Amino acid sequence: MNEPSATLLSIQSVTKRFRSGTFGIKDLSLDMQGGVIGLLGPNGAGKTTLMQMIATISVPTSGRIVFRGSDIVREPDVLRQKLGYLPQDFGVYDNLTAREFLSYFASLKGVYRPSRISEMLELVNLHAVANRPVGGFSGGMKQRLGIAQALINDPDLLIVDEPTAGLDPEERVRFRNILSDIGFGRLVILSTHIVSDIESVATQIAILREGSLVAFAPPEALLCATVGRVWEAVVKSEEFEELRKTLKISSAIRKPDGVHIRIVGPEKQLPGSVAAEPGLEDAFLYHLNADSVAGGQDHDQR
Amino acid sequence: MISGKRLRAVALSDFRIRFRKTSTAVTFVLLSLTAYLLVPDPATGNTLMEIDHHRVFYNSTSIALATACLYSILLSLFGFYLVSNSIRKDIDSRAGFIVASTPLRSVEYLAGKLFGNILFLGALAAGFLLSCGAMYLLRGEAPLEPLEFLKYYALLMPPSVVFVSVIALLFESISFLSGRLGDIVYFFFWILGIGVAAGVITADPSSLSPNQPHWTAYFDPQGVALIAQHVKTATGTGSFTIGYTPFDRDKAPVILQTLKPGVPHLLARFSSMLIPIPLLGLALLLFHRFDPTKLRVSHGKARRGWVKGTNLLLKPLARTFRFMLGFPRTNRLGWFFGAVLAEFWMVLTAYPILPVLAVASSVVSLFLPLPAVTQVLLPVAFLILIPPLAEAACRERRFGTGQMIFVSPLFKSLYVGCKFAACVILVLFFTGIGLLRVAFSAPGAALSLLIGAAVFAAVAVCLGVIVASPKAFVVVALLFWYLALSDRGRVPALDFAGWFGTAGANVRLSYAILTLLLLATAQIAYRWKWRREEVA
Repeated sequence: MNEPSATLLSIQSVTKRFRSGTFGIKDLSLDMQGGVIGLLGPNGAGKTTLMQMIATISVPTSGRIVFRGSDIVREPDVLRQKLGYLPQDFGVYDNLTAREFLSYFASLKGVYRPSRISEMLELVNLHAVANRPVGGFSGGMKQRLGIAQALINDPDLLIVDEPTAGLDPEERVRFRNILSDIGFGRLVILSTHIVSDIESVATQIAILREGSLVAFAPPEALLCATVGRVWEAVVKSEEFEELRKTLKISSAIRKPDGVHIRIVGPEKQLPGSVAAEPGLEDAFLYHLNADSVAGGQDHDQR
Repeated sequence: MISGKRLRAVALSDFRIRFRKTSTAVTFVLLSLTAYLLVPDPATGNTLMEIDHHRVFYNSTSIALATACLYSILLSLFGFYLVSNSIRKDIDSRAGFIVASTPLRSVEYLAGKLFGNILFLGALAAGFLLSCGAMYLLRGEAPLEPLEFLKYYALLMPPSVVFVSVIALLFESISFLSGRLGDIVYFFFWILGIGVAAGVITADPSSLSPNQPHWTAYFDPQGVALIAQHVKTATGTGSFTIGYTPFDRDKAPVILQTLKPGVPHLLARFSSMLIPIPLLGLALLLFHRFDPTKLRVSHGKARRGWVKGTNLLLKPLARTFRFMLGFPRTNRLGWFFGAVLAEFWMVLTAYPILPVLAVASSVVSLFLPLPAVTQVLLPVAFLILIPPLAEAACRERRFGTGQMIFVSPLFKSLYVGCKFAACVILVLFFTGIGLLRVAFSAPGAALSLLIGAAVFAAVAVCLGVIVASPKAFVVVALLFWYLALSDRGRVPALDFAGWFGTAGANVRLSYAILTLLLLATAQIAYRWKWRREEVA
């Protein structure tokens, strides 16, 4: 646990149980200071449910979420003043111009300075199309407009849910750069199931599986915990189809001499494989499947 | 503390989003057309308003009073379907999640949406007022008095606009009324609302005072009671018609005296405007503030509704109809019928209760006396079919499945035809036995029923393709169904499906031509949208 004074956002034994009886989040605790927190997990891990609770849209079944000493479940407005949120699959109002769209959300957040809207449009490089209806924007432009609305009130906490889904590689890089630039001096929570989205920007990474936190640490610590558990091998195509069913393979690249695979496991599982330096993708796979790849030992880094 | 700036932002954005839609431009064109049709040239033998078969003299009073009264009635019906998606669009776009994460209070959001609705409906009313003013320049028989127009519109519109805006917001806040059921419930709610004025419409003119509004006028958003009372007391007759109507050319035109609204009249309108306001409290209480858990619960509750519950229970029944998917597709015709049967199967799968009701309806048709079959059972069957028909022609656009199924051979090019044929089969699936019984005793009525099935299906397809929302068909079909049923065949032109056996060959031919026109329109609209999407 960190010192309470340094903690910006504290999630304390939060559980979210739906009417159907299923758990979205199970007894999750997490303390966050500033920086970019990457929230990693497969689809259905509970990332969006957790983010919606932090964003004060949804209320936990039990537990507390504390922002700067205030329980935001009881007093959501304390956080809402200083919150920026970009939801997953965020849509736009097609008939509004980019400037009108930003003005709308600026007003809702109590920001009435027109120059702030221009600043945000410049930041996300949409100033040239500020007066065009957003219905004609590309997916990447809409996402940039989304991040502009999230930043319009200069938030202390920025929550971005799966921001790069559906973007082309160029837009993904551009979006990552924007996040990297704005990450200083505030807490940014970025959820994704794509490791490359966060590996260059995250200062800490939380890995979720089935509503529970399985790891929370800086990327370096996650990588350290994976050292000696990643192996590289070259296999034939026909072997590969069989191996992928039994081994945890973090990447596979077909080359003239066969398929180059990276295997995550506690020991050398394939003759001829050699130890490799772990990447974040390997670390994610290792922690996500910690029970099966490491014999069930505790890998929670809290 | 409510922030005026935030409230203004919600209202203004809502208004802008709606006002800039292409469909709004189309609505304004339709309003102009309505004004043109409502104020006919008396030389044609028709007039805007008749009193004891005398046509009213076209001065500013008569045209303003009649058009404002009619528009108020139409607005209170169609207005609901135009504005009852303001919260839904924030849910669908997920922008509502952002709204919920801001300091905006729920009361500010709902009040903003209310004012957005009011602004939009007010703009439409202003558009209609201008159209009627323009019509006056064309057909008026006395100098234009703009203040007379303003007076009647200011007197009638605000309560009507507020009523629709509040009810639309309330229905959107109540989970089980926020969908198709709400669309249908509102229609009957509207009929009840119109019924409020019945106390005045049926009253003897001598029992009404020109200066003291009847008590029903205090609960009358549309203002029908007030207008009916004025016309009755001003003319001393209980027989009058407002709306495109024939008149006796031998009788001299009458000049309608203007209504001089006193404090009681204004109080009656003010009271009618305020009455729905407390319902906003209920809307606030039930508003989910985009909480996904509550939205999910709403969906869950909707699933537990008795209709949906029965549908779920009967889901296995849908498997019985899977044979329809195996239609041999060896040639173009085979592909067409295959697609039609697949579409029909889709409807039965979505509504497994339909085959049960169809069988029940068929069995009952065999034993009921023929008049009960034609005048009760068949109208009920048409009513039941409104929701599935409304869904059929806009399903792909609403659920984004178009790209997936358009890869099926021929389906994309024969879309309108497939949908139409499937809809006709659906209607006949329900009414087939009744149709056979009618055919033996009154072949003409059976032909009317066939044509009625076709025109119903064609309207569903045409509106589904153009509007891409089931609402338009729901409201048009309900209105037409209600008019046809309540008229009970007195006007043969309304007996579109031969329920009352009064439709003659001309009526049948007219509906057959209308069906073809609707299908042609649907095909043109479909191809235009398709091309536009390809270019985009």
